[in-house]
Amino acid sequence: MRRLSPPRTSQIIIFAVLAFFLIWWVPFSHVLPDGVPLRLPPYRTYQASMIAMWVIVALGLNILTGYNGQISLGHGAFVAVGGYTAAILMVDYGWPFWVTIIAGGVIAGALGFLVGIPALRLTGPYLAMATLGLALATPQILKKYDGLTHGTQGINVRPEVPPTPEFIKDWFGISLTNDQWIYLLVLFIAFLMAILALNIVRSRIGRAFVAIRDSEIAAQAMGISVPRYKTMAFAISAFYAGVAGGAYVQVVGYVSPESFGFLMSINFLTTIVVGGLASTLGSVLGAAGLVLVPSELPGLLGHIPGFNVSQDLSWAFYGGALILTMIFAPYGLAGLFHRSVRRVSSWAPRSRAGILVGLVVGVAVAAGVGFALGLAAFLITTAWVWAPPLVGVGARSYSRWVGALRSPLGSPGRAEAGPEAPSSQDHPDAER
Amino acid sequence: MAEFWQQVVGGLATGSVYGLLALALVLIYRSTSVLNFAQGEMAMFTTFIAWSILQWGEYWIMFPLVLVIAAGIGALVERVVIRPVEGAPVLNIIIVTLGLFAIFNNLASWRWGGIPKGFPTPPEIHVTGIKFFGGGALDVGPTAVSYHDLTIMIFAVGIMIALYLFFQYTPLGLAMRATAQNPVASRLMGIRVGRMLTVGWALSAVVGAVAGLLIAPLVLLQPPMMMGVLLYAMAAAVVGGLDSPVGAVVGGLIIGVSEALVGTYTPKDLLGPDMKLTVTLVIILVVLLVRPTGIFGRRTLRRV
Amino acid sequence: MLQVRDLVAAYGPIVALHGVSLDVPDGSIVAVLGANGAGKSSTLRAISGLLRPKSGSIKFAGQRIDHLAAEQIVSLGMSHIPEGRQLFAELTVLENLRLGAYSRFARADGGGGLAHRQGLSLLGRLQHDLIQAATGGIRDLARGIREYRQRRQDFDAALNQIFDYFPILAQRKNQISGTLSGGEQQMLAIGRGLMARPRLLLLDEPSMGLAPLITREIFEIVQAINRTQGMTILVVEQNANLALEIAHYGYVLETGRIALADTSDNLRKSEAVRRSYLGQ
Repeated sequence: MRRLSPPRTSQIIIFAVLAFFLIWWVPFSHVLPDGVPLRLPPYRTYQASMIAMWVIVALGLNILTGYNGQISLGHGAFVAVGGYTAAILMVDYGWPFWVTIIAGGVIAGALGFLVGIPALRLTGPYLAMATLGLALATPQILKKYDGLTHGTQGINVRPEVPPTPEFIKDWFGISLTNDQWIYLLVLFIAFLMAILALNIVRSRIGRAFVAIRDSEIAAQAMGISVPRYKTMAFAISAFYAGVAGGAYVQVVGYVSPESFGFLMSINFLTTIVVGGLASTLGSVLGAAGLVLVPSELPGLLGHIPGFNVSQDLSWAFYGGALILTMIFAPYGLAGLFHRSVRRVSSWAPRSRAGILVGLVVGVAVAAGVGFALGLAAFLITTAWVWAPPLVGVGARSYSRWVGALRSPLGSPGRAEAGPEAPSSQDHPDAER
Repeated sequence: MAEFWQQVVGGLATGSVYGLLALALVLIYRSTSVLNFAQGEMAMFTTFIAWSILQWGEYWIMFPLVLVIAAGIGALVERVVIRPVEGAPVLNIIIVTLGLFAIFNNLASWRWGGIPKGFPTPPEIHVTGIKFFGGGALDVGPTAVSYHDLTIMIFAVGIMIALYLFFQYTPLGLAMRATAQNPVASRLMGIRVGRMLTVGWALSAVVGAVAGLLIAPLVLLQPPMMMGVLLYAMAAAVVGGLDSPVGAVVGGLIIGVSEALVGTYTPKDLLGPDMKLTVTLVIILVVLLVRPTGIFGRRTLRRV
Repeated sequence: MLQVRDLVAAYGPIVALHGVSLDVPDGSIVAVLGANGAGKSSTLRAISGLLRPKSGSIKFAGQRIDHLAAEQIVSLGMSHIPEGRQLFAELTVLENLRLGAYSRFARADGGGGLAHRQGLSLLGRLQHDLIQAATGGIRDLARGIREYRQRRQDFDAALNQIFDYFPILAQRKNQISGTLSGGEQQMLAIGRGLMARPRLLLLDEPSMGLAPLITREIFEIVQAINRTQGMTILVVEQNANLALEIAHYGYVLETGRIALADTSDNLRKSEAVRRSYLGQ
């Protein structure tokens, strides 16, 4: 998708606002008096740490799947490896925490490289299944070799995690709670990894990845060493997952074989697709969604009178939200965002302010659509309760609504309207 | 020795269930290149519906009724959920099936609760003095084979044959094969591609439903019932080759038997029963390394 | 038989046809010529329903078909033999031919139901589809059993006719169609299209990828089909020579517009055509 970049001043403003929000507002706003809008209670800090952690994984997985086209359903295994490496090094060998995080990343990256080698022979669903097998086997292997991994009881890291390091007090003169310190630490790491990801993607390596994704044979013909780059992509994405694993150890304080089940791996894939493939923004949005939607949605929906079943059905809503997102936002939330930006700025084509407004609207749209999707998901999955009386009345307005929703923001590549017409975009030759 | 054969037969039986579910997966994969992650949950859901029906009806009345209902659910899912994302990248459609997974799973838990329920094996039928189905076991050679295991294998074989005949010799089956291979040309033959897909999903749901009905007596009916089966079934489909129905069943049998044998015959400290999933992984890897598209899968010719 | 007026069609933002008009009289062979990218195949795709036109009208035997789906148009008696053959490569020759006749199996239930469906709302269509899916199979089965013998005879007759035109196909009846040679595949594609007993045949670049000798042979057979059955044929070709030899009328397309329209004799004599397309 074509992306518009906003004018330099607005970039700076946006950056400043984001920095303020992330570095100060999230961990500290709870000190403000109760009535302040958007004040975040302390547990949000923990949530934000989780989000930052999964952003790291998503960034890595996006490099492998979004930019390089290799589907992995097994990244939970790499997170596990990174986490366990970090935990073992901290608890059994007393290494300092920041080294363990890097070590976790490196070991996971090495494993990723090793996995990438046989992966060269596999494509599409076969690769997906092989990596899924990896994710499935990991908890069992972790339990089995308990000499190293402490077995089923897991490793409790908490006693070893030092309280906020002294130098913070010395340098900045403030004291942080553990949660706040860990959050800022993980945020910093996530920031670094994001910069790294952006650099990789824009470099020769990134272009090689994309070339391989789009056509392996053509890439090979252009002199790109396909095996080298494909294994590199695996290694890099595993490194990211490993670093996130190391961060996990700091955030959660405890690792066990069950912490990294295959559901986690599947969630990662969902995250990057819903957030937006091949998009750093997408990784962030997706990770935020992964953490926030399951925790907030039932609460929000519970406010709707009469629908107090929401708690039990929260997983069903999540599923419904996934489906709706795929139907109405095939390029993910990031895609929606960019499309809104384009659309809004097209109303004022030469105005730079237009782009800025587009950005704001974009955020609003993405968040609003996210919420609307959740709401719609809820309504649909409980349709058998409230629909029968309404069906006769609502059908026509529903079809009009769907039609309207489809055309302006529209689905990609569907020039022909209606369900009968084929997508001529899949015809390889546009020159007829 | 008798125990060995016991294990093998048991493995063949569970393997047949994996094979059936794998067959359902392959049916959909062949026509749409989509791995339906919700296959197991749909089967579980229909099995719960079967349980509800059993509360007031006979088994053999419930059976065809459940199959019809399963077909309806499959068709409904295709028409309402899958059709809107028809042209989208495969990954998107897989996410949709994951969403369906969540929905079916959650709805089942919500409606029928988490307490495992017993589910009956098909009750006896006597035909010309020969007993079909029912409980108990039959002595075959060195071991005893439970009637239920026999039932499973008979059903699996029967369905395979029925599907083969259907696809090979009926116009609708031919039209479905055509649609899977070349949707554009199919439209030019007057085949309504959409309807073929709906039928495909309906068929697939029916096969899955049978798998669910057959395995429920063995593992107790509960919402997580099919999750493990799904994983083994996907492994079976991949091992056998995702576009080969024969491969799906063969893959299922291989995985079923090796699961049983590894569980029993490997030293506990080296492997043992808790490493069953790991062994499955190893099998998948070994097979795929030798034949990257599965045992019976077709090597796709890539045109440059 | 076919009347196209001011047809505009596009692939997303790329407009392929900028208002194409042509006529195909009953029983004639009409050729559409033009360079690569001129829009020839797009024209056929728009006519057969694979590409939905943005505007303009297409009338087939007096009936407007421009907003019908491809599957319906086939049932009305139009067969499109697409560019590149588009055979069912993993199926046998016989199975391909059988599929060609599919629209005649299903024709009885096709037309009315689908036209009715267009006018329904989203929910209505859903209902219609589900009921169709549930009962359509049973109804088709019932009809199939009743009319089995008649259908069988029709099918065998059509099959024999195809084998008359293309004896080699009879020999390779049970061979996987993907393993046939290029020329044989083209013959199979044409045969498959003819199994539907169409009134109008749309042929898209039959010469593509074929050696000259076999191309000539195929064109001769096409001409024979026209002469013996009075089949109306619209053929799109880059090989202007061959096409004009067998056609009665011709159109020349340039970047989505009709540049020339005349009888094939006149076109062959025209300076412009000779220079640009006949290499003289």
